[in-house]
This record gives sequence, C-alpha cells and structure tokens, in this order.
Amino acid sequence: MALSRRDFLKSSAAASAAAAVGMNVPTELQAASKNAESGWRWDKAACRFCGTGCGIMLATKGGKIVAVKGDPAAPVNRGLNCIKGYFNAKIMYGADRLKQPLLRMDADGKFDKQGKFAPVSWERAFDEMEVHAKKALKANGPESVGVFGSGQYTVMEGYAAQKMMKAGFRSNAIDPNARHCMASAVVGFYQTFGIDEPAGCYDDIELTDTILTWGSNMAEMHPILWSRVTDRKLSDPKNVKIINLSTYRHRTSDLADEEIIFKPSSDLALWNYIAREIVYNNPESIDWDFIKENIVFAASPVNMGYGMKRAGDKSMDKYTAAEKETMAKEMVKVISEDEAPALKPYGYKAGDKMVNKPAGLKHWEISFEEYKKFLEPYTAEYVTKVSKGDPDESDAEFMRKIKFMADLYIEKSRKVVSFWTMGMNQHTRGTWVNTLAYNVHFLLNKQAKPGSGAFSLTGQPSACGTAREVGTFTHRLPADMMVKNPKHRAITEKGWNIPAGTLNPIGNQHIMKIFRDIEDGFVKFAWIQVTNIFHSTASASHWIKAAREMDNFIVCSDPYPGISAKVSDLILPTAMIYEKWGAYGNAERRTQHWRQQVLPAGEAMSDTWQMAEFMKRFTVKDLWAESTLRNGTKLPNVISDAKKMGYNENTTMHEILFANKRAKSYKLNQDDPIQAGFDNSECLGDSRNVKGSDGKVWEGYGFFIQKYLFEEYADFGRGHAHDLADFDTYHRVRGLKWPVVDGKETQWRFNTKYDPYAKKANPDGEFAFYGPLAKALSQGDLLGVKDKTKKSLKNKAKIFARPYMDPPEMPDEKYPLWMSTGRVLEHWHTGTMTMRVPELYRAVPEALVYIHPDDAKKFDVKQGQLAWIESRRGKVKARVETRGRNRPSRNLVYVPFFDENVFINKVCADYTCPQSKQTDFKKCAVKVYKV
Amino acid sequence: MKITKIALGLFTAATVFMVGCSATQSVSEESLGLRSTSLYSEVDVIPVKTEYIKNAAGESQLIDRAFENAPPMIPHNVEGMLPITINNNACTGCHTPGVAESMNATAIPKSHFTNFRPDTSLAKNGRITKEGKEVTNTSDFKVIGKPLTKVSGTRFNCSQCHVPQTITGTAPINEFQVNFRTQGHNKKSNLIDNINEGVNTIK
Repeated sequence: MALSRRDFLKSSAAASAAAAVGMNVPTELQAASKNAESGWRWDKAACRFCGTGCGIMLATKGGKIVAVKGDPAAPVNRGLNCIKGYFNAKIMYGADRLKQPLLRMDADGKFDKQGKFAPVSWERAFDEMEVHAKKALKANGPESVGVFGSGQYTVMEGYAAQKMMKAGFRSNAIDPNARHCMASAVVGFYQTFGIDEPAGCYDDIELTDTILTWGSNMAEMHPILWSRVTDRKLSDPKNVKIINLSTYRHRTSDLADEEIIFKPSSDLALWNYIAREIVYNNPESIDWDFIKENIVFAASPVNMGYGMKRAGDKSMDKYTAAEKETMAKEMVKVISEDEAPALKPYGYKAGDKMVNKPAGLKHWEISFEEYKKFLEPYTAEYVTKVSKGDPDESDAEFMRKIKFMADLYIEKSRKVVSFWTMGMNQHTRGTWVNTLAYNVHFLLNKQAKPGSGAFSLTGQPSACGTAREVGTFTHRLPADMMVKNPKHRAITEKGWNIPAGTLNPIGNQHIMKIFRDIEDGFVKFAWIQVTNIFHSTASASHWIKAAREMDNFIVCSDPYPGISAKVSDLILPTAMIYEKWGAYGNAERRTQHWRQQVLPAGEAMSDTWQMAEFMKRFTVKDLWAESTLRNGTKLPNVISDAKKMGYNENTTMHEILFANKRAKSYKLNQDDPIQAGFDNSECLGDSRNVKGSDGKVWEGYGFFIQKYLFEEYADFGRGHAHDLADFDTYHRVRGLKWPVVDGKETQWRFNTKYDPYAKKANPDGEFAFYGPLAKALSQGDLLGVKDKTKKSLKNKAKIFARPYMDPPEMPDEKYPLWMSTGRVLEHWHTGTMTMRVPELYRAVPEALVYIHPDDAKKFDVKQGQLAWIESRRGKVKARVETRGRNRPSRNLVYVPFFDENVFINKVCADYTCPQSKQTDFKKCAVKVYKV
Repeated sequence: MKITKIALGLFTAATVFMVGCSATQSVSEESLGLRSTSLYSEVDVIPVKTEYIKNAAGESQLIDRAFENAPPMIPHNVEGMLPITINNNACTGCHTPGVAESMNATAIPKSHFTNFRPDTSLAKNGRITKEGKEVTNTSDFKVIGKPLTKVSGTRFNCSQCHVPQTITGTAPINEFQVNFRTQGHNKKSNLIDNINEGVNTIK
C-alpha cells in the first residue's frame, strides 16, 4: 500500500476542505512499500474497551488479526493506546471461544433446566427461544420478556434491540448494563440541561490549566485521557494544577498536586462547600450576568429512599435478617448527627425519623435566597467533620486542602475542568451529586467553554453512542425521546412504520427491576446481550439463584462462557467487535465506525443477526393483539391498523422491522470504496457456510442491514440537536462530535460561538441551554411547592439545592470497614475478554483486597494471604495487598470485580440512586478476617 | 439426538474444551469458563496467587513481544520502583537511550520521543486551531510526528502500557498467531518507521 503525500491529502477531501498537514515521519514511504509485500491489511477501528474511544489500527493477514497499533490520525489518542487497547489484537482468540449454540438438555435431547449444556444448531436454538418467549408472553404479557442490553452494543445492535423489544414485543423490559455505569450522569444532565451528554470535549484537556478528578481513577480507567492530562501537566508543571478527590489513594493521585481523601458519599458536602465558599466568602466571583440570563435555582424532596425493595414487595422471604437490616432504611431512617446540620433547612434534626417515599424526578424552582440558606451549613468545619476520609490526617490539613481546591475553582483567570466517573455515578445520591458539579461551574460561569466545564466521563465504549443516544433504556426512545410521552411515541411509530398505539407507554423495568422481576417469577424470558450482567450486578447471589431456580428461560449471547452464560439455559455464540461492522459513540460525543475485519469464530453470528433472525419467528398476530400490563394499562389491538399499512396477520416482525422497503434500498456493492474487499457476514454470508435459523446455509440478507439501521436511527436525531453525519462519511473520518451540522462537528455545546443549535435558540446571547425536558417549573422553597403555576425556563439550566446525606449502609461494630469495588487498568469489567489474553492475565491474575497495613494487622490478615470479605449479603475470599497500586486509608478496602474467583458482587449491595436507579457499587459495610 | 456424556474431569478452567466439540458432547456449568468451582458457594474457590517475576532489573530475560510493535512486558521485578510520580519516574533511570545499553535494559524507542498530537489552541476569533490552523473538524488534521528531546508527556506513565508478569497460575490458552514481518522484531520496536503505514484506509 504505497502512500504518497498527495494520495493522502486527496483521500481526506471527503472529510472536509480544511488543510491537512504533512507527515513528518521520514521512513513512511519505505514502510508502506514493505507493507505491500507482507500481505498485511491495515484498517481503522475504535477500541473495544472504555468510554475514551481511542482509535486503533488493525492489521489482518489470512483472515486473522495480526497486530494493533494506536491510530496516529485519531484525534482522541494520536497513536497511543493503553495496554488493553493494544491487546485488542488478542481478545478474539481465546481458545474457549464459543463456537456453537449450547442448550441445557436431558439425555433425550429435550430442554431440561437442570441439564448439562450440549451443542445444538442455530435452528434448534431459535426453536427453543420461540417456545419460551411465547410461553412468557402468554403467562405475564409483554413485561415478562426482557433484554439485558449494553453500553457495549454497537449503535446498530442497540437500535435493533430497541426495535425488537419496543416495537416487536411491545415490551420496555430492556435496560443496559449502562444503568450500572452512568444513569446518574444522565438524570443529572436531564435535570440540569434538559438534554443528555456533555457540553465539553477532550480538547478541554489541552486548553485548561486546572483538572480535578472526582471519584474517577483516570490513570487506570481512562488511561489515554490521563496521558493527555499528564502531557498537559508536564508541559507547565507550576501553573497546571491537578487535584484528585477519592475515597482511597490510587494511581491518579500519583501525579496530582493535592489528593483529597473523603468519606464515601461526602462528595455531596464537598461540592456544597465550594459553592458556599463562592456564595458566602467570594460573592464577587459569581457572574451575575450569566446567572440571571441562563440559570434558575431548584429544589427537590430529600426523603426519597435508596432504590431498594420496599416493605410488602414480593420475594421478601428470600432475604435474610441481616440483609433486611439495611433494606429497612428504604421505608424509614433516623437522621444522624452528621446529617443533621445539612438537613436542618429541611426541618429535620438529629434523631428524627425520616419517612421515605418514592419521589420520582419531581423538582421545583426556588429563589437564590433559599439556595443561599441551603448552603449555610457547609462551613469548612462541618464539611471536614463529615468528609475527611483519612483518620490519620489532621482536621487542619484537610481544611487547608479543601480551601486550596475552592480557591482554584474561584480564581478568576483560571480555567477549570472537573472530571468524574463511577465514584459520582454509582452513588445512592448519584443524580444529586452530578447536579452539584454543574452548580459550581455555573456560579463561576466556567461551563460549556473551551478549557472549562464539568465533564462526566463514561465508562463504556458506547454508553453514550448506543445506550444513551439510541435509547436502549426501559424509559427511552431514540434521540432523548421518552416512552411515556405520547408525541415521542407517535414520532417513533412513524419512523418505524408501525401502527399508532403499538408502543408501550410504561417504561419502569430498569435493570434492577428486571432482576427483581426474575426473582419474583414474573419475567420468564430474558436475553443477555453484550454484557456479563450476572457477574457485574450487586447482590449477585440472589440473581444467579433466581436464574437457576425460578420458572424462566435465560438466553446469553456471548463469545466466551462467563458467569452469565453459565447460569443461562441457552448460550449463543456471538461475533466479537471486529467480526462485524459497527459504530461506537464515546464520552466527547464522537461517533466512530469500523468495518468487519475478519470472519467470526466457529458458527458465531452477530447480535444484530440473532435478533433479526429471531424476529422471523413472530408475526403481527403473535405480538400486536390486545394485552394488559400489570398495572392494568391496556395495549390496544393494532392488527387492523397494521393491515391498513399493508401488513397482514402473518407478516413477520423481521419483515417489518429489519427487512422492509427502506432496508432493502441500502445496496451491497463491491465497487463502493467503503465496502470493497470487506466481509459482511450478515449481509453476504461467508465462506464458513454456517447453517442459519432455518437449517439452511446462511447466504446473507442481500442488503446492507448495518447501514440501514444506522441511517434510520440517525434520522431521529437529525434536526433535533443530535445530528449525525451519514454512514459513509464516518468511514472516511476519525469520528465526528455530534451535533454534526453542515458537515461540521460541535466542540462545545450550549455555547453560541460553537453550537449552531445554541446560536439558533439565542442569536444575541452567549449561551442557550436549550434541552427541552423539565423546562417549566412550579415555584416553592426548600420544603416544597408553594405555587403550582408552571413558569417556563426556556434555554436555561438549573442549580440544585441538594444536601449531604448518609448512605444506607455504613460501617458499624459488626461490619467495621467500608468496601468499594471497581476496575483495574489491565482488565475490562468482568474480565471475560481480557482474562483470556495471557499478557493481561499474567499482569493481574486475581482480584486482591487492598487494605491499609494497620487494618490488616488489626483484623489479623497478612500480605499475600487469603482473607474473607463479608457483608450482610455474602462473603468471598481474596488475597491481602497492603502495598499495591491502591493504598486505602484505614477503614476502607477496595476489591476489583473482574475475577470470577473473587465474585465480589455477592458482597456488594443493590441499593441505587432512587432517581437514576443506578446501583451504588462504591460503598457497603464489610468485615475482613483470615481464612 | 443421542447425548454421550464425556469425562468432565479432563477439563480445567483454562482448557480448550470447545475445540472439536461435536454434537454428541455435553458439558456441565462448572467445566465452562474460568472458574471451575460452583458459582453458588465460595468455600472451595481459591484465587490464583499473584507472584511476579523475581529477577531484578538487568538480570532478567527479555520477553518476546506479543506481536509487531506490541508494548513489551516488564521482565523484571518492579517492587520499589512504583508508583511513578511527577518527580520520580524510576523507569527512565535505566531505560533512557544512552544509559539503557549499559544497564542491559531496553532503550525507550523513538516513538516515545515524538509528539504525535498537533498543538491545540484557540484563534483570536475563538475557533479551535491545530498547529496554528483553524480546523472545521478535529479529525481533519491528519498526522504529525514532532521529534522531542525528552520522553513525551503522553508516555510518562510507563505502567499504562508496560506491566510485569506473574509466574504463577496458568494463563488461558490464546490462539492468536504471531506474525513478525521483520526478523528480530520480536525483541524490538520499529513503530516510528511504520506508525503511519495504512492510515489512509479508504482511497
């Protein structure tokens, strides 16, 4: 592949007219000519792993990946990957790749829930799924058919899953693992801006001079963003400041100017402390012109519980007395001494009982004076009392640090970026703490500006691109539309060419609800896609037991047999990332596409194919008759309307949703430079001659299904501030940040200088926070609504009064330590892929319990020896590490969750933020003792 | 369909059980995947023990690269060398070119002394610029490699790509096939020479 400068420039013409700059690497041409001889083909792709969204270059030879390098043209990472990124090369080649469907069967070859796994054909697999899905529908209606989706779905897969579930099955029991990962960020965005996803972009790193990481170990979890932060820091070490805020010391502290160790959940107090410093002690730093023009103040109920099961719920008999100690707080809790000052403005004092009620997302406008009254308690002394996380640090030292931090935010000439990830999202007050971050940036007018902003980083590679933008959540439809909104349903029904009234308006089966519905015996058919959810969900013992013991049928599509596959009834062998065409959207709104590089292993087929094939088994008459939901809502019979649209009773959902007229208009064409020379197993079939869902050799759809799914999906966002470019453009560029308007990406949303939608909304102003959700509020004070008249706050954002509160479980005499879980650099989530790469396995072969040496001594456990970690929910064994990469202060331990042999989610609790329904994996109470 | 049960004891967590699996075999839950003990009890499970290579720096044997220009694994013990902090990067002490050779250490390659990121700043009109030129889209700016006299700041955190290896436990089998185009590249990098190779993906 000879590559001349002229060729190179020519090729970029489609991307834009902007001048490209030459290549300064002298041996380029020589290397390019060598490449031609070696038979290697290089192509671009997105990394499989985190939300950073690095570009990689993949080399293939003889139908196999042979190398990976960082893509020097990718703006995110410019030629550098982290260790996981490089080892994308090997993730598809673990020797125990699943190559055939596996069904639990008895000796006669019949399905047997207690049986062992035996290989079956795809046809048999779909036969079995069809029987059990139909049985579930008959038993409990559409809500009993569920999908565990993913923030690792490609955009097209997520969209296919959404269509299958919401249009086909009329079920909203689809929710992604992204619920565990950034639901709190999403509700924070909705409540603050009225629209999802960050204002800023990664260029903020090079443009800022102050970076704060809040509950975000960027050094391990977003290593390439951290490499950009490091580069920025080293370029000007005196002026550029980094502060790391965490509940335990980790690698991100290693390069920080200051490290602030705080008690779990007390980030709420720290944010309010900074706001108080601004409002009470530095009022001149408030940009009142900005506030008056763009901001309103708001409040919401505080007695909203913790997202646990409520008294009287089903299956309470399956919970132990110890578990119920914590669960009781869902109904009522006693106000602690720590909480009392923060809750005084709400009329509570220490010792009072707070009766919790589901509060939903309700909030109302308050005055600045009310907000100021709310902030009053957060003095340095009070915040030090509730927040200081290292018992061996003096109060004075902690106060010095938090003052230093507040001063950095406040310093007028300083640009500031606040990054956060799971620490602020996996939090029983996750929505609250997300909104508190924007407060500080708003007060100082340091939001949605180059180099300044509160910036929520996502964990997964397409949590933004798929889970959020496509809307694979129970309550969502594409492009920020909601199932409960009749107008949104109508738009979606039109876009999908399905009868009006097909879509189900009740979307309440978030991921924990689906698990609890399985435990209750209500959900009877569940399909796990692109996630190892039985490994990664808290209170795990309940769910693995429910999968095996209740009357249900669990299907798991996975390339490798992880815990989820093992507890399933049917395992489907699934094509991995570079074995299919796809696209991901990263945390800076950058959408990135790739082509199928190699054929899938064995008989594996993609998730898209699996869903499209399954939909051949269901017709209009099977799914679109009347049905009654469990709350009594009736879904109307839409069969006659379907007939008016040209469908008949026996038209399959496959034809309607995946192989319709529009779909067939996307042609396969080997003269198309995008398609030329690349496989497409779903559309063309391939040389493996896999026997498909009808037992015949799979020969392909004959049209470009991935392009169809992408374009149809993208139409929902175009013209609605979610504009994506066309499919082909993405194959010619290294991603674009939406909204892409007239071929131009958007760097900073809501800022009229950069965002055409903001400019349109507010032509003469600097900002327009134009998101449409919750943009008319009643008026009131901290205690509640006083005037129900709704006042419009068009183009405005909100500053919320949200107090410090204790989490529902805290260390006590029986369980004296805090426990937090999370990832390590070398492994991705549950390790299903990375534990099969020998280099990564050997780098970190087991999950350790990181503990302070004094605590190790106190609890009589020794470095390198096994210890039990036990909570009210269960216990696991892990080896003790007192001097590793994570160095907690006394009173807290950290145990990563990637290791199947250290199944820490049996220990974690499934309480959630009651607003976002995101589980708090970051804090529970445990004891540690020797084995 | 006739199911013949096979001896499950043959299969350990890391065993390649699916290879050659025919329609006549059945397998238990425990024989699948990386955990060979029951998922429903923690009593019998023993995590793999972490024990890193003991050889001191300079006294270890180079580990072959996983593929062309893959980041090399650390073949020596790193105790006392981490963490890397702003004032103390123990790795560079031995691996800096010029020093490395005499320390029997792999020299940091040229790719690490190159800045691949265009300068980012704002023009007077507030628009974003790359290397001083306004860009419409950040991906418009193709590739650049500016030589540096120091290790690039982006590559200062050695441990984000280079990790030590344990000697305990059996790593799962991986069937990736190594293909080095040039002899000797199992031991060294030529990334700087071919980082831009193939970047032009659509003609």
